Amino acid sequence: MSPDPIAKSSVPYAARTVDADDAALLKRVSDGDKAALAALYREYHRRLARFLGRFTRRDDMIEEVINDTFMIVWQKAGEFRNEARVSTWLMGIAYRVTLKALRQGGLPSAPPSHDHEGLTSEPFVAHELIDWVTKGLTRLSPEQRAVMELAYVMGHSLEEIAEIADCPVSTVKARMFHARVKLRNLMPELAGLAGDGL
Amino acid sequence: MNMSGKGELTHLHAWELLPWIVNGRASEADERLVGAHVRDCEQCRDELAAQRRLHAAMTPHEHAGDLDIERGLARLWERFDEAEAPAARGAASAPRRSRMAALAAGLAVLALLEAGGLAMLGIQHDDPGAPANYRTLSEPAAATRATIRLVADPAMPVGRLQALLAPLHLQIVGGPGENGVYSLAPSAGHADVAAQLSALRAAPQVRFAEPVGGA
Repeated sequence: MSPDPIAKSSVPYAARTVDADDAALLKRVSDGDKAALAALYREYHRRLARFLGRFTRRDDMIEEVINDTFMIVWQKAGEFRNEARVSTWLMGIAYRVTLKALRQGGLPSAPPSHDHEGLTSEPFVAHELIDWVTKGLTRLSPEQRAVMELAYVMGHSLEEIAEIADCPVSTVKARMFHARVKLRNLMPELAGLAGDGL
Repeated sequence: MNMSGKGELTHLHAWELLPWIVNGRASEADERLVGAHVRDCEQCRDELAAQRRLHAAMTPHEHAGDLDIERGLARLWERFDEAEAPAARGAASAPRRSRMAALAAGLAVLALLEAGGLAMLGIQHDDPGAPANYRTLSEPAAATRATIRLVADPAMPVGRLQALLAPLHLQIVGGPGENGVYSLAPSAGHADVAAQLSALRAAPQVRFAEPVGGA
């Protein structure tokens, strides 16, 4: 193990430098420019699909939620204020649409695929743990789950998640706290295997 | 664990921040605080390791999917069309169709797109006077594609125009826009566009008749 427990791992979320370009696109969208909307769609589709792919394997549903999101972007582009980042603002819309779909059962989850090709980069992660985590995440409330996905898969900071979820930072911390406790209770392996690694 | 009040607060604060230490998004100040704390706190060290395992277990297990961005975008436009032109469906106040119906319609649009060489999107963006082909989604694709643009004398009654078009097996699928352009499509089967154009141009009140690009 690393002697420094805080040793930085790779940063999954590179700070964006094109937010001004995105803001300009969004301004054009608010003026009714569909080409600008298409540009934003192409830019953010992959990121949104990645987020939604955490909740369901149904491609048609993923596409449906993405398009629901962009219908709202089209309608609300004029409400965007420059104090926010476009990426966070857009993710906030996707977050609300996703939570609504989750509550309505519109994002049916699927059993783990047992396709662990990604393990080539994380060879120390046991397959069983991945399956347990995948199942455990479905036991969290939609809000708790979303906070965990936004942090660990999408790489968002605490403040960004508060902005996306439109709630105080303290609420994000509380949701994450409860998510962590619940997952640990569901998965003793998480703590046990971690202990082996120290 | 015996901690002073301040120590306990630091512990709680550090414990809360661990996920953002793991994902590399904590501020430098928070990183220093947590770094100093975990050196002396076994509980937080264990939790940090557990969260790292959780993070590692979540990140490789992603659904890559094979979503086609352009296909998704085409479906988005179809929904726009649906929202913008409810009257064309004969039910201005009709509620939005079910999601699955929308998906089915999206597939139909794809078929049209393939048949029409993206004509639908082109019309929508470039020629607001000529409504997009989606308006006749319920009809066979071959009959919905505009093949001819026509400008008639403004004094020409619609009834006479219809009387001119019917024997030529043409129907109005769009227009007239502000510029007076009608979009015409064959009403049945394969049409001889050249013959239709000749007949239209020979009609006294037709000012302009041209094939749509690619028709």
